[in-house]
Amino acid sequence: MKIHKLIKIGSNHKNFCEDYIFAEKLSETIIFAGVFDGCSSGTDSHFASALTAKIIKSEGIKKHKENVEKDFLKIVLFESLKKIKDFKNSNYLKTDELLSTIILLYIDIEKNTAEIIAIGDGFLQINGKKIKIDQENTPRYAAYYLDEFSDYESFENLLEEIHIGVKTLNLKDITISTDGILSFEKFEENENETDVFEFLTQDLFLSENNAMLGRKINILKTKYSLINQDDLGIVRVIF
Amino acid sequence: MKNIQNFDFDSLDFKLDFANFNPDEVETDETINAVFVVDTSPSVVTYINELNNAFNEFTENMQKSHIADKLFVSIIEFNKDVNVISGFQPVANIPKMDFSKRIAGYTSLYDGVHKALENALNYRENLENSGVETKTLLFVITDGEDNNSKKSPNSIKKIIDKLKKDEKSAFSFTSILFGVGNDASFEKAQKEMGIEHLAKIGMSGNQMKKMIGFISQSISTVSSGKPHAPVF
Repeated sequence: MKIHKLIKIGSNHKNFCEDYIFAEKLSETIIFAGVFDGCSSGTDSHFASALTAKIIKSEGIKKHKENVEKDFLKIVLFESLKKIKDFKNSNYLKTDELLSTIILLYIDIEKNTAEIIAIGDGFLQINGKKIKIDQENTPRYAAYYLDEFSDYESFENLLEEIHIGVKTLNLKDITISTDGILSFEKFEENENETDVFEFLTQDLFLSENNAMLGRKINILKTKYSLINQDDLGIVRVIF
Repeated sequence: MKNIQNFDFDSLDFKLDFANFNPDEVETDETINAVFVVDTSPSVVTYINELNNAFNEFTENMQKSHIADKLFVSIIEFNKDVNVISGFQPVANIPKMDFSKRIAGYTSLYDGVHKALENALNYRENLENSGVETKTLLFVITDGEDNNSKKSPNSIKKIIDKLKKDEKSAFSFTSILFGVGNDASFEKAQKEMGIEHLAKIGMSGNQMKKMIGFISQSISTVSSGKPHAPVF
């Protein structure tokens, strides 16, 4: 099994990459990963995605240490959004300073299962199947709803409305990605064509190499004159 | 329509006969390829120990540095012959060097530089074809004038000029000639070969250290993505 991850600033962004990723092996059998896309029309969106990711990651590590397995993502998300709400209030932040999409992945290698929770848009690939998470360009950012839950029960009710969840078995190849994966465009004339999504999320060239995604991004540039316009964050796990 | 899934990566010549590291196994998406072309004609005996010490210190330092995974080193010696001591290998694989082992008559400076450049560019192309971006640094260390080469300096100049004119490689290739001692021919050799920079250095241990310190700094600068502007 190999975990590949990549974060790459888009050509439309000059100063900051507004995407953020993490992929943690919490134990020999548990993988916890996330991709985050800060809202470009928000304020300091690179900060929003990084803060959200770091809080969720630390909460995930904490809950794993507390042996939480059932509803892991939901519990981690609940505790994280509570912390983000506290952080927002204690630092006088506005909602538009915290706008980031959230796609979380929890894999139990022993049980051969994966769970995904997505709030906001992005892309998934599960065993060769492409899944677009599209909220018609008006993603339901979690930060909009920080004041709409007070306890775990009300959070569960809220989550039902704003998230897309996927549970899957028999894992072979799984990817979570921000929507930057479909932002590749040619920067010069080049007759060579390829399917970028398939190349990055399904093709197995260099699959044993730790730099697989970075090298594929370079191949897209040099052989196909393709670069991502929007920021890109990908985590791919190949079994 | 050409599809990348059908691209024949096996058809690439990875120049493994030069003992270059297999590009498929490079675990990074960007490398810095430093090639050292070192004069081992008889006159170098006056400073060879200092050069050995400085070079080995460089290797040791680079092996511990944060850019160790990205740094690939090739070593070529020249006297009457051109000897490939190492094709491009991760700096971690570079052993302790003793340049005094193969000292012999004559100075095939142009042949040495030509061979080093040819391999560096072939390897660079193979790396780039397999998705690894590359920055190439050519360091030539010599104390005298060429008196044995079959290749002309102009053949080297043509290659370097072409590289500098190509937008894709113009900012990812740097060449420096270190002239050791007082020989007046360095500048002529540098210009005739089209090597971009010349640094004249003395033969003392301190001067060798200064040269190697400069090389380390150049590598670090290039690794940080800044435009390379050597000041010696």
